[in-house]
Amino acid sequence: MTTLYRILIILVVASIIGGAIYMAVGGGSAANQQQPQMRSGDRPRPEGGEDREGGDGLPFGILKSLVIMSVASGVYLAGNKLLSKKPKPVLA
Amino acid sequence: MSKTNRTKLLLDISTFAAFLVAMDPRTSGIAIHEWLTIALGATVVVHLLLNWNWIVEVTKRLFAKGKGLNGARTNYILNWLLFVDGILIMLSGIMISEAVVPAFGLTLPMNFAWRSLHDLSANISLLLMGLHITLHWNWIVSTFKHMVLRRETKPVTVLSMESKEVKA
Repeated sequence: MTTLYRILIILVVASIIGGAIYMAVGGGSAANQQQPQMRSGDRPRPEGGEDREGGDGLPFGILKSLVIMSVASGVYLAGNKLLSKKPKPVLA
Repeated sequence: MSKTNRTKLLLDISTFAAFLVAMDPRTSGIAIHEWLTIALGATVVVHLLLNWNWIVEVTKRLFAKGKGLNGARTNYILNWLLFVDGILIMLSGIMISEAVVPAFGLTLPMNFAWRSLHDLSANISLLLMGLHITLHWNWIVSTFKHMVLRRETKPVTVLSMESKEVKA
């Protein structure tokens, strides 16, 4: 029962955030009218416009993702290291 | 090693692998990309449930006095950002869906803004996920060694708090 309550809390919080995003982005009709509408067949496709049904080569996207994550990690660690460096005592 | 830690690690590794595949729709294909991401939503809920005690404990301390939190505050904020970004990815993905939404016989109004948001939030999620893994790296390595190599390691607390440690 506790788990169900917890799941409910997660879903409610997610719904509130999702609803807020939807309103902010302009899911409503007023904002939609300002956006250039797409014709059927012009549906947006994620990451590229080619016809993609999978299996079209090496998974460079996965490698790219790993590189980006590694860079983010490296920047964070380097920044942390720099900030945690104690200044040398200055002799009077 | 506790059974919970083993479950957490296996779930996290599986989720991460699925996340990587989902981030490459060109290779996987649009249908796998969408259905896999829906499944990822469920695993994220389980991930949160398994770490519920940590979430509750840090939330309480954060709103109580704000003292006694070291790296847990950064971790907490980062986790929230990741959660919000995940919701943004899911929502924008549903709005531009080509497989999942049509499978239910639904059509949604098309809007270029969702497409841009989907790309942006996906890129941000890579950065946030990189940081999320970095902050939990010690726990991952320790638990992995313990599980796979059967090596005795000291219990690792992830970004513990000063007065009371909360195990990840």
